[in-house]
Amino acid sequence: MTHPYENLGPEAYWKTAVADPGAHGLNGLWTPKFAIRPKHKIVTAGSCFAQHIGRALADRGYQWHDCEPAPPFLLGQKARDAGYGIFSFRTGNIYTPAMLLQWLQLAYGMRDNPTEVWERDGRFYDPLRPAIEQSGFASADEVLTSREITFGAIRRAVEEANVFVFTLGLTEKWHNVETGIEYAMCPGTVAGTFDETCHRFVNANTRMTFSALTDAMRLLRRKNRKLKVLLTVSPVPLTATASGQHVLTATQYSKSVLRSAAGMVVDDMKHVDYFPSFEIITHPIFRGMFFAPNMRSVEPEGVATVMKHFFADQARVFGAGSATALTAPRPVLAAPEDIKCEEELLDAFAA
Amino acid sequence: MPSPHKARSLCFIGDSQMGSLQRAFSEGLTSAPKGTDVEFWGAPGAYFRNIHWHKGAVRASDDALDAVRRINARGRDHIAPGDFDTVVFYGARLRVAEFFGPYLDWVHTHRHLPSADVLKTTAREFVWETRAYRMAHTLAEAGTRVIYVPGPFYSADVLDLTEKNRFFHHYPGAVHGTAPLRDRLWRVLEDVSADLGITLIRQPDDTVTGGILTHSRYACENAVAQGDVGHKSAAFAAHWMGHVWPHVQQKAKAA
Repeated sequence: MTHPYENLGPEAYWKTAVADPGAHGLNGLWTPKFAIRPKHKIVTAGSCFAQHIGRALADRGYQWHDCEPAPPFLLGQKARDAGYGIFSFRTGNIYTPAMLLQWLQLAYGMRDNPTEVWERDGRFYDPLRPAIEQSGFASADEVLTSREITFGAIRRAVEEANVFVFTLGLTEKWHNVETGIEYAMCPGTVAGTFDETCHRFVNANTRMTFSALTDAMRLLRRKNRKLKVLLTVSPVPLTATASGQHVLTATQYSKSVLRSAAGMVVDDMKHVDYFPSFEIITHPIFRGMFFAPNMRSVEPEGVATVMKHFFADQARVFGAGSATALTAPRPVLAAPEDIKCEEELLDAFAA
Repeated sequence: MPSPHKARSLCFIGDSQMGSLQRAFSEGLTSAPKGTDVEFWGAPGAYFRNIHWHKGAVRASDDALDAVRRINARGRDHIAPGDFDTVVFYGARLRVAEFFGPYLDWVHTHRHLPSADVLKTTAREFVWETRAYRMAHTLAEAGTRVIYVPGPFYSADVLDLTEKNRFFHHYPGAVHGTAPLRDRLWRVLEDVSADLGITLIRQPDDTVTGGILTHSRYACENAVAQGDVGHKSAAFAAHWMGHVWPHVQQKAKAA
């Protein structure tokens, strides 16, 4: 008599898949649903860990699609300090699926753009991304104008991308009970004033997370029928919890909910896949080796290991794709007047 | 060596753009405020890179020295703080088209300018990239009154600037530049300069066309034949100086 476990491959058994090869011998952790090629435009958004993925893809010659590039002459760390070049648009971290859905709905005019602006010491902050402009904006109007730029960038990202990578980060969130707007951070932390009568804490459960994530995935698909989505869960623990639980157990709950919801959506939707960066970083097989001593920050070796699995599993399933050369930077303008400048000047003074 | 200080003395430090200014003077199209002693000092672009701030002064070295001596009738090989009441950097490698072009293109894509803080940061980055600008700042810090007249926008109708590797090929959206947008960009350059002790004088907007070009009537002689989009006519220099002289006078009064 046969049974379903009889003909399974070695990857299905702990001994052959994990115990024998050990942490550094693992393979086949991910069987991707679709190929991600260097030619594809890849958009990244979400929690902090998405930054690592975007950068690692770009380093390998993949087309990380920056839809809200820094303005001219804002380079390097100064650009990053101003929130450019971190994600494909200047939203800052989008920690929750509901926040992603909110950004998408706002970008497409499916809900009213909130006019709430936080003020501190004469400077103005965007409740949807309060840390994006370090010293705040000059005026409330500027907050809203700047947000319009980001809405445009989101639309371009959704409509032009081939792959949308979204990293789920948190379930804990704060929202305004009157407007329903979800904040990026608790009012009063970076800016704004906390008001317990209108600011409410929510710790989204699996049902709520699944619902928001499903709606966000559907909206993405509506706007771009060819768009594929790759979900990941951030392995970075919570900085703090307002749940009343210990931050360690609150972290475990939050990540479990996110992981479950992601899995449920992936089961439901052909165009959505899940990449197990969370498992690679956090699983006990790795004995926490990818975390910094604070057991929160992820070390570069962890990101490198995650991406090694990413590329290896893509190659295993779809064959090795060759990375294209990085997009050439814009050449510096030639200075046409220099061609003849010597004659021009010296002629004038010779006269 | 000339005496270091003259009452109401003015020196233009510039690159090849200064040729049109010299012509404007010699053709009588412009003149300095009465009682102002004017000198020219500088070198064409290729040699301008050998002009540095060194030992407390702007100095020419190597092949730039020959060019400077041909331009400065009094044989100055350096300009130190206090040598002149006012120094006007003319052209002097600060090509504002390289700021306006990318910015107007960016705005065309994103429909709005970035925040005032970001805009100001980028404007400072832009001016600071130019060595002559840093020299101007050092002079200003040392107490010299400094005015900066940047290099003008490229001339219209000289070359097809949409061709590959030409200006509008890189910055196609710049053609949509408007007077209010240009005004905003000039204002931030002026503000940043003021913070650094420099009075920056914008290109008169009545000379601008096509979003970000200078009217073809201000192109230099034989511009089309030579494909010279950079240099301008004496009339253009005189027109711009009409906006500079009041600042020179104002500064002289303030002194």
